[in-house]
Amino acid sequence: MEHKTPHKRRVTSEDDLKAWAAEDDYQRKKLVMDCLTWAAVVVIAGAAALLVYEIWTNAMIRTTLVNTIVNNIVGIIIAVFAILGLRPRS
Amino acid sequence: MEALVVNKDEILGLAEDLREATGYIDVIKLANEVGIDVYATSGGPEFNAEISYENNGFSILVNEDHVETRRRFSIAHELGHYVLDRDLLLKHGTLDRSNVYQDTDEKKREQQADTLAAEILMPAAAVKSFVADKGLGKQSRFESETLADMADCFRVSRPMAITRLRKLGFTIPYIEFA
Repeated sequence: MEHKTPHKRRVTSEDDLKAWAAEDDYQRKKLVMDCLTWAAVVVIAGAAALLVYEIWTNAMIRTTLVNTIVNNIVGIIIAVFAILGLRPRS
Repeated sequence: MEALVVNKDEILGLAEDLREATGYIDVIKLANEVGIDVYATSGGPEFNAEISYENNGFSILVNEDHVETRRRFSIAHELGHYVLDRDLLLKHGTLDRSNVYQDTDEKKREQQADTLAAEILMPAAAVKSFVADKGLGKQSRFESETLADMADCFRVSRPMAITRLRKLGFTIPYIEFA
């Protein structure tokens, strides 16, 4: 027959083929999910970076933000410790 | 692997032994028992399977992308060629199927391999036993569900189960089950 294939793998039972089909299917789905996850990470990181850049380049917002942090530094520190303290321990 | 020289009755006997031992006929194990290696590949929709002889050994290459029933039939068909056309395989290495169904001998070879494949996958005794268990006979009316059960039981396609039943003399009306 004219058909020739470069890649082949030996099978010893029909269960091999079924197992491989299931594994191939899982790997395909995992690849898609990984791609989607990384795409989401890139989009979110980009949006966050853009937001930080916009805030930092806007003098009025920056001043307001810095003042807010300085004025509430004690509350922020307490909140951070409270959040860390509430984290579940493994 | 040194392949055994088997005739039609012997390969049907081996198939029956497998069926009795495991409940169904694993055609890959059957090929291995005869001494033929089986390889799977992703070969495109047109490719079913092929048997070849090289380096003093026989091997079958099957398209792993096809559904189970089609894969099983393809492998059984190639086993049919191994039993019926062994001399041609030893001489040429593979069967020339470049002009499928244009050459009378080629067409006959393919039909004989199909017939033997059906006998391997659906042994006459097992089919008759299945039909008898359902309380049916040669002239009985087969319901669609019965045919589906039979196809599932033997792990073949429904059209193949129907063809095999007709070959064994059961009345399956063409008007209902083309």
